[in-house]
Amino acid sequence: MAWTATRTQPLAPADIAHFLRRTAFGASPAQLKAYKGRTAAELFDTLSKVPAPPPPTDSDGKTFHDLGWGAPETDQQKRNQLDNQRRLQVKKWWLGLMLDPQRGFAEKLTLFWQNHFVTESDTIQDVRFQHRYLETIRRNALGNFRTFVIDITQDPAMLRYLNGTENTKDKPNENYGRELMELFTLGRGFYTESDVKEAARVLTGWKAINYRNAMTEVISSRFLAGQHDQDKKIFSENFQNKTIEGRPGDKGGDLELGEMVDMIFAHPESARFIVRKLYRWYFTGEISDEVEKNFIEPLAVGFRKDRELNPLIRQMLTSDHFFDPALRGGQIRSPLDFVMGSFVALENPVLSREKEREKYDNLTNNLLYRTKLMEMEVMEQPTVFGWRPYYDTGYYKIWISGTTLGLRGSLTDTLVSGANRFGVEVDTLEWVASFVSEPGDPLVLVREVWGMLMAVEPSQAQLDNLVDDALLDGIPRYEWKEIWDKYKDKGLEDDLRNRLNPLITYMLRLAEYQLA
Amino acid sequence: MKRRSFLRTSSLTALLPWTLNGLGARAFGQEASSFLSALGTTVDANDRVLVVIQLNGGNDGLNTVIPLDQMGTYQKIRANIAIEEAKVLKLRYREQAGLHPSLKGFQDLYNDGRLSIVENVGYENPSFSHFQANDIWFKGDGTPNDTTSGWLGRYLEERFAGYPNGYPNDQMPDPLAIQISAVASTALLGPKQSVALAIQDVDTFARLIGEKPAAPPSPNLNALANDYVDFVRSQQTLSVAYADQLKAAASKGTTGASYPAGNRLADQLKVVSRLIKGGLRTKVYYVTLGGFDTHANQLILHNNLLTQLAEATKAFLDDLKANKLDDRVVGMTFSEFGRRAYSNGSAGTDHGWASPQFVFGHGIKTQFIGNSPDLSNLVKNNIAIEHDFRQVYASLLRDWFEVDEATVRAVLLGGDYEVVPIFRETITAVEPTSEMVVVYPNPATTEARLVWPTGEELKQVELVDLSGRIQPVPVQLLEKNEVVLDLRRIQRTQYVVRLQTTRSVYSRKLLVQ
Repeated sequence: MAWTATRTQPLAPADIAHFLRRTAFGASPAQLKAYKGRTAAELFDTLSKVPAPPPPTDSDGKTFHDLGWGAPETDQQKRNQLDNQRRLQVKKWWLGLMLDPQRGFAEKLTLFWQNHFVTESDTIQDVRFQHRYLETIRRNALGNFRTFVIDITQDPAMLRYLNGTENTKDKPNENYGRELMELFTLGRGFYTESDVKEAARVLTGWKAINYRNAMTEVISSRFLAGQHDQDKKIFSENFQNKTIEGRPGDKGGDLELGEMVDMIFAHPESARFIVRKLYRWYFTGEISDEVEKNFIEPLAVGFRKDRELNPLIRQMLTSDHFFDPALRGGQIRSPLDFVMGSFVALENPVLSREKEREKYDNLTNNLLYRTKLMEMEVMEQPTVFGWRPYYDTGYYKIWISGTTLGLRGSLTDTLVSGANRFGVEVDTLEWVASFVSEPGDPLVLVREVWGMLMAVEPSQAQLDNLVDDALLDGIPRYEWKEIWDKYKDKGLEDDLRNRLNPLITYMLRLAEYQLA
Repeated sequence: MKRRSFLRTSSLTALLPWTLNGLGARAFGQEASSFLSALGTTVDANDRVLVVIQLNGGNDGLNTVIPLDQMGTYQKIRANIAIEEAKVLKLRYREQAGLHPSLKGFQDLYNDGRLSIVENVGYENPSFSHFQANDIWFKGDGTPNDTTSGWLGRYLEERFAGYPNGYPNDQMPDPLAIQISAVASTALLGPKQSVALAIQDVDTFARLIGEKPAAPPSPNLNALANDYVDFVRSQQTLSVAYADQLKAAASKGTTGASYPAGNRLADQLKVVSRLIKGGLRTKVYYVTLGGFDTHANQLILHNNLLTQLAEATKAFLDDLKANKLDDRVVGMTFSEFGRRAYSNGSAGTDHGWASPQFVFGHGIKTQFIGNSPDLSNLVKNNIAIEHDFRQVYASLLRDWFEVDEATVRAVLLGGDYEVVPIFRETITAVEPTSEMVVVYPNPATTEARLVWPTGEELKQVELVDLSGRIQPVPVQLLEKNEVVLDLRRIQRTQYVVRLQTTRSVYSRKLLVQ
């Protein structure tokens, strides 16, 4: 098998579900129907092309990224409070976008890059910077990686977060120079401490402009030649002892940065580094020597030529290897995968931010709180290296503990029971009827619901247990058909739901449901 | 070198000639006199608890424990963030160093004999990457990429063989380790899986956890899925099994009222104390305080963090003490690295090398281990190491958990790390007030009497031989400030009598003929 070869034949339903669970947050019955018979490339091209989302707004529907900091408040403390609220609004806005199955692909990719080029909202403390940073990420997510690295290096939020804005000729600050090599482009072990210092010197002179400035809505970054170290910088043998000549003038910062990024990219490890990170995000947490040789390396060779992300990611996600049965269930779902995937799979109606603002705010607020408890709050990574399972191989398991299992279970319980805490209702009866081929047969029903929810196969004992204990609870199997056939009678609909809800609640608490 | 001349030299230089395990008599067998036990020396090793506080981000050690003996250089190399000498908090019997002004709680603990500072801790060939450095500390391995388990995970798996199979059981009904968080640290990863139960809220844990899995999973899962399903199921099973224990402990243990508000660390330690009070036999608790990556404007940030650290720790120990549980607990802080000795231009500090570690709680015997960082001999502007961090791990394992040497070596991946005397007495001949204690007769044959200043209450008395072993002897209290030691059953040789009172520690030589 050529691992990187494109899977050209139309995808089976299970493959479509797999594609959606991995490249977005989850798969729904409606999507499986809509995408029936498509190829992987068709899916990629459809799902990856969505327009940029409308900007975040306050509860009154007005935008705030285009105002002075904390405007219209005038008191410093009130501005601060308002900015805190608005930064929360941005997080909720993003969760709202993730809930939309049409945007799942785009948001999962945006999340990947936000977790790659980490900044933390609580550190940024200016919602306009935060919003602009997210725009930088969205704009470049499938673009050219060289442009991406340069844009993010000069992004005002990043200049604040990793102290680039404090990095000057007389007072160099190494923070960004180190992370640029260690976390963003190359990885540990391929640069020296002296390279960190030289990189910091190349990066001197950049400034974030109008940070927390209430008087103006214009924010930007700027290069100040006078604060730039204009002596030459000499790198280690990791970079063939490359010398970057000091460039005077206003273009000096751009020129030296471009030259340094090219120097880093000339290191063969840099392309592999990005391919591996995408692999841990979309494929699995383990990278064997075989995967390294047959998949990572050939893709890295291609990526090295032009650093174009679209062809790279497209080739990865439409490859034969992506659909390899040995990778099914090869991920433990992250908290966001789990939460969003549960909403998507059960086909909760997507709330309209414009028409149902209060409900929308309640729901996204609730989800923000829950994902925070599960230790995956968007834009608040615990450290600059992001969530560990994607930084390092072999760490998916840390998402699972007694506490997180409890929190996950409580979320799906609430979702199915329709306790109205989310402001959306799941009708399990309608849901089952929409895709189960022969719902009057309890075994077929359970097997097909399993197939919709799970990435891996059940055992016969599990199916039997689900049919006899969770669904039928003691009544003989042959009576189920009669119950189901009568379901159109108004009186029996609730009886049916009373049987389906415990089944689905129970299934959503199974170990298999934690996998993607 | 003959021991005698070694001792004499040392007495002049006040170095650390020899040390002895000072945890108390019971550690050394059944012969301990009832008097010593009644003094509440130390609980059984099985009941001892370790609390680990991770200071995430790289704590600036040089502004935490401040080198009062080198203030000139200190002020010069970090003028924009240096702490004023007058504000530095003083340490008892230690003029060379003091504490950051916001560590008032630590000063109290130190001067009360409940805190030990191990200076300049780190490891050779330091990593300046947060990630890698954390991993090195978690795993206890200088080259951590090939090690998948953490040092505490390895210790607990060694201590509780076969875990998680057959657990919980009568010998260990409780989680081996608890982290107050939703996800557990790499330090608690055993060779197979985490040995920790990660808990955020003890009150809701049992309610949320649900049921354990009923039917077996498919036998045809691929290798990856099989591993993950297996893992999730074992977490479900264990959590269900532990949920009731936790619930019971949480409802029995009450929260002490005196914890500082708005303190992220105190919130976690409050839960820990409640579980200890509730009777859990969990060996290790793990809590974290983040935000130490102070590259810019660090004065306010660091001040706030250290305040949280000291206030939370002090409240925690006081809470335990009020409940008479303090003799079960020690704690340790660690941070992945210290920061550069020279400050940067942003009134912050970049990633550095060695930094001090704090050990607090019961059984502390040596309070300041090592020297202030040598600011005139920096290594590329970094503070050189004096102690390997695994020496601190080894000390906790050897002396607090009483793990045998071979096991300690295995837990520390085969390395031999010399124990630092956190829990061992440092015998020097320069202790200030020993003349105030009288031992007679001396030399003695069958018994010796010990008299100390009136008004001081006895906490502990020990007879120590020259190889550092404590010799159990019957002790009888005669007066409020006098005891008699029964010497009939011990070897005829030279000893040191160590006497600890509510005010001080005294030592006198005693020859038994």
